[in-house]
Amino acid sequence: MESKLVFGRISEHIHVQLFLSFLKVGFFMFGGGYAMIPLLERELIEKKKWIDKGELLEIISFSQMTPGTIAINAATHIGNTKGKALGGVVASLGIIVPSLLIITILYYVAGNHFESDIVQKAFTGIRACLVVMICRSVYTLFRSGMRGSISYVFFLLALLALFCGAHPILVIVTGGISGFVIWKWFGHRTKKASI
Amino acid sequence: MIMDLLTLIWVFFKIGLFSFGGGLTMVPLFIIEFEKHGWMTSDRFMDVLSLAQMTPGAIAMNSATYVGNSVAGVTGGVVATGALAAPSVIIMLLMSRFLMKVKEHPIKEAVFGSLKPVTIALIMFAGLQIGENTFFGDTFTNIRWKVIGIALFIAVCQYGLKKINPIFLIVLSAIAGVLVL
Repeated sequence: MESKLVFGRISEHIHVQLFLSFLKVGFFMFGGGYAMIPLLERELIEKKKWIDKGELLEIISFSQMTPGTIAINAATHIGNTKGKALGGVVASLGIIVPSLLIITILYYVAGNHFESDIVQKAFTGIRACLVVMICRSVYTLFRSGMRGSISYVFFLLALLALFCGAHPILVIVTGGISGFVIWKWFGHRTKKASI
Repeated sequence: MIMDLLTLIWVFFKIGLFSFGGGLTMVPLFIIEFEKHGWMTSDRFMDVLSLAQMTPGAIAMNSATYVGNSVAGVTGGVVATGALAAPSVIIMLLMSRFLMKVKEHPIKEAVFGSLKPVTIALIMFAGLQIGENTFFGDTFTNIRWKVIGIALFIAVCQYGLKKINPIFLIVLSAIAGVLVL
């Protein structure tokens, strides 16, 4: 009875929740990078309500400009806003622990023979699933993140630049600077159109 | 042993500090450093990379754990992964504080207002790239219908069950892949 009470209290603690949430994301994060966005949407926006869609987009664009993987950056930032610096560290640990556990076990168990046929098939299936999930994320983010016709101009220009082979960091930095310049020049008008 | 661990920390911290734009940009840095220290040939690292892509977790972290293990055992794996994550955790903690401070500032609103559609474009482009590699073989005429079938099946599941958990979809698609492909 008493131990149940203690456990209940521990699991309600924000740092424990941060760790567990990101641990869950880490364990099911296949394909790396953008593939984690559907998982983050579900866990952080829909379930825990820690951030909204706009904040998720901010975190992603910020992660691209700072060193390291998107997963760790997102975990650190959200952890920090919810549970100070310790929260940031704990959330990042949650993302790292699955890699450590799974790869260490595979290193000693599978050794050099990890090119199995079944794993390959399962992974191809997962990749098909990732495409579908990313499509849905793009759709929901599109509905919340696009405001005013200038958003569509930015969106199309960025997509065009990427298709022409521009580096993502260059695209983001250019986008941010032009946002600033437009605000500086047409401050009031664009504010009404709320870019 | 201690020297191996210190070298691991130094190498992975350095890579973590200078890799902008996510996991795959680290690959060339990994190869240069591993060959320099004689830890792994680039051929062997390509095998490790495909393992890292097929297992959950960030690709760069997975590679670091594997290489760390091969250099200095379990401790090496932990140390290498920690050292790779450390720079981004430290930098992001500082940035995060800055972001919270400027939360409602008009300049920040302006910059992120234009960054949002750009970021959506980036995500969409990443999705298209994964789709291209998954649904087509070496050429665009080589269409993999079975894989497209799995994607349609997942899309129907996702549409039919509104509050479906993405984890469930991932497990489902893995099973479908083993059964159908």
